[in-house]
Amino acid sequence: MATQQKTLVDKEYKYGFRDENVAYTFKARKGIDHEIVEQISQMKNEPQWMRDFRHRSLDIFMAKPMPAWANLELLGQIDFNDIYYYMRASDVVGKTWDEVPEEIKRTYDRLGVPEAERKFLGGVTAQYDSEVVYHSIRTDLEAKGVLFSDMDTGLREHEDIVREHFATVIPPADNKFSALNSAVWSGGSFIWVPPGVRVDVPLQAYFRINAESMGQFERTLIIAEPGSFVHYIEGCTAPTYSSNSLHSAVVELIAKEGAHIRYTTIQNWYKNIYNLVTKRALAHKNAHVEWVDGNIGSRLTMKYPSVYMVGEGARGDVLSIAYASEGQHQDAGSKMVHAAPNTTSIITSKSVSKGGGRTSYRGLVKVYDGCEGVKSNVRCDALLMDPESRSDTYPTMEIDAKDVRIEHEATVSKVGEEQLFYVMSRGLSEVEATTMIVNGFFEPFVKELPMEYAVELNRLIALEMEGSVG
Amino acid sequence: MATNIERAPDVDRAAIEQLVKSEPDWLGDLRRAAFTRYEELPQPDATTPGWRRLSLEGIDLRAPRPAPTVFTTQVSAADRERGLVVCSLADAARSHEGDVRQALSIEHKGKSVGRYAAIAEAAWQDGVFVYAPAHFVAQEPVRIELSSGTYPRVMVLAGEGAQLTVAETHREQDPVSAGVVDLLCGGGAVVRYLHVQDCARTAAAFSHQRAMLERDARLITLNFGIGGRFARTDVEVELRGPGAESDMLGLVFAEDRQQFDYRTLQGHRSPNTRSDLLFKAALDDQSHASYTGVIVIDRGAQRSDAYQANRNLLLKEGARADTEPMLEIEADDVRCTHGATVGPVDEEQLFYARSRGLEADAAARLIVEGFFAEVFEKFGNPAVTDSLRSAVAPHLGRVGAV
Repeated sequence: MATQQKTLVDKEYKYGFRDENVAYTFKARKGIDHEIVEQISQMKNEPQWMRDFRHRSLDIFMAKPMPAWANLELLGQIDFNDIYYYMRASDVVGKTWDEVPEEIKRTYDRLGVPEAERKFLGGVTAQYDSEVVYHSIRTDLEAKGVLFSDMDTGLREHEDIVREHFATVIPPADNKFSALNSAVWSGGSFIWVPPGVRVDVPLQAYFRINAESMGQFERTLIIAEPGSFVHYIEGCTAPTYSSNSLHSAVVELIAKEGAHIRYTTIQNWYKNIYNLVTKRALAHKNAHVEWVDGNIGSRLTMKYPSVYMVGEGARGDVLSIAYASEGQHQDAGSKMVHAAPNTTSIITSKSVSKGGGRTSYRGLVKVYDGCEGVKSNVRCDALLMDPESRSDTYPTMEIDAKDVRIEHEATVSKVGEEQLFYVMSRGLSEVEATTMIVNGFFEPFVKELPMEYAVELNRLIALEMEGSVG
Repeated sequence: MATNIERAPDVDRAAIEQLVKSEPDWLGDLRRAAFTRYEELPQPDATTPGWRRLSLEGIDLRAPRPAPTVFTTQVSAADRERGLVVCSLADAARSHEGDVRQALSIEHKGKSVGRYAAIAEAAWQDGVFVYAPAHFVAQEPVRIELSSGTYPRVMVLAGEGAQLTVAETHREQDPVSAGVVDLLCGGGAVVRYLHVQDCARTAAAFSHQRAMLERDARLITLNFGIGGRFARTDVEVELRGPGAESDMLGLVFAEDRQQFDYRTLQGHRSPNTRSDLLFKAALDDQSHASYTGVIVIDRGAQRSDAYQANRNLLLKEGARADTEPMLEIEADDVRCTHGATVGPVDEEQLFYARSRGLEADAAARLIVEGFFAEVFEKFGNPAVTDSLRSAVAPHLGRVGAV
């Protein structure tokens, strides 16, 4: 069967179509090898350097062992041969609304997700009609000289900028999954902000009318030139359905001197998804990078947004929440690497485990020799909702400089009975009271979100809390 | 380690068979099993998890053939008369066969036994055995001083309701020593255990300490590290009975190129257990301290209360500290908190002390003394900790405000 497909692909391949219209010759198949990689690159009509990069990355992916840490049981269940590594929009859209799981449809109802978005989020349509909104934002951005497109377009239209920065923050050999992404990436966002430009509206992947925006192996590159500011938002609170089980993105941020990047993610993948993502930022002199990171969905998430502070006075902040219910493991955290003096980092992590779910904080604070005046503060709070759930904290601090101030603190507890009693004495039911306390626990995260996200997230938590008490 | 020192040949199975000859069969079987574990575990190097940050050049970590343990003990005659037993573990394997055999056969639930603990279990000679019968309350601390021996082996058995303090000081000059300590605290027993590591400045010193606490037992341990070129200490406490409590203290003063590697386990296996850990390190010159500790709360160990703190004071440029305090919590009705800090002497404290008329250097010394004093006080037995204060004093002379 596999060989048959292979020959089929081979044959079509020899003709070497490069035309846009030739998309139909691509036949999606499972598994990964150099042929698939070659095809992806051909289809996208990429320059030779990118094609070579993909092939090199595939070799690295195949040579690298699986991580020997984190949830080995779940990781061991990934079958790399049973995954589609590239599908065209028309393949994806082959689904009908009926195939979307009932519970997801219900959640859309309860969250009040607009009709058009529902089909998009459910993976039924590749796009939804936000042309008008998108257009006005785009005009505004163009006037300022900001480049904002999907990564494929970015590579086509601004090859020089992409080539200069691509994979400089996360090389393919960083880990097995970044190697995989480097070999088969498709979609993701490309943003370039000119020097001194402040982008006032948050840029949202959500607005892009493109099937690629929510790809499996998306590749995002954001470059903020000196003195600029940009806020990027990806994902959404509503559950995102995909029949494919592996999502492995690579996100690279480059904040040049005095630039400020804020990157907000809310991940609510369906509970069959392995979400193994590499996110890293380079912060140059006096630059500031913020990761605001919410993890609610997926079966297993492994995600540790990092900031490498390579210029004096740089600053990195991570604010993250994780929510794990039955069958889920949120293994999230952050890495702060202080490679220049007087750099500052703050990590705030909050997690809730419920119904046998497991949350883990895994982090690193590293201070290199000679980096005096570094300050770092890490704070992790975990709530356990029942005796079946689990919470882990695995922080690491490696400190090679003397005049530094490094602090780490973590607590694990359940919802306080006194708190519950107090709220219930005001007339709320136990469920309402618990929901309110959990919402309050997540408050520092929620208040950093744009309003529509905050409202949805609060509703979502209320939904998740139903049936969690009594 | 200087290369001109004559090094004992590596340990082998024949050396173990030599020891087994004159012993009961069950003990021989335990030694052989331990030796097999030792052979199976790889020799650690820079690629071994947790060893990456150590600089091991010039340190010979191969396990040598066993040499007899040379130790002195100091026990009050009155305590002996009232039933306290202090003798060699080899003798106790016959005289208290049942107790020793049972203690050596306990399966520890925590981390796997490392290579050096395995070889110590296989190759120990003589050893020290301390036994306090049920409801025995010691008047004086038991003091053990080891001056030589490759594989020092210590076992402390405290019967139900017994109360006892054991102070163990290591001054081995051997290039490599690897010890194992077993602390078994019966129901309601109160045990204080002090471990001082003051080995030769060229030595690699390994110590693996395992404690098992039954219902309502209380154990207070203090590890004080000042010697050795490289010291690796594992302290694992299993709170097996409900209501058991453990205070785990650690204090390191490191200078030159000394390296200290501490690993701890706070294992909450039963409900209503409490543990409190405080490990502190003051690091001078090019020294390096690494702390890795985990609190494990088992499913069902409800109403556990656990705390873990690691504080590192960097006294000079070039000193390094790593800390990895971990939590693995599987019960919800718990209180579990940890914290870690790394930094220099606090400037505000320095300023305060100087505003009271102290010179900068004297102020810094005072602050470091205060940093240590907290730990000594928590141990709660000045009779044994006062001598430690004076042991640190000469080293503090070099501490200055930088």
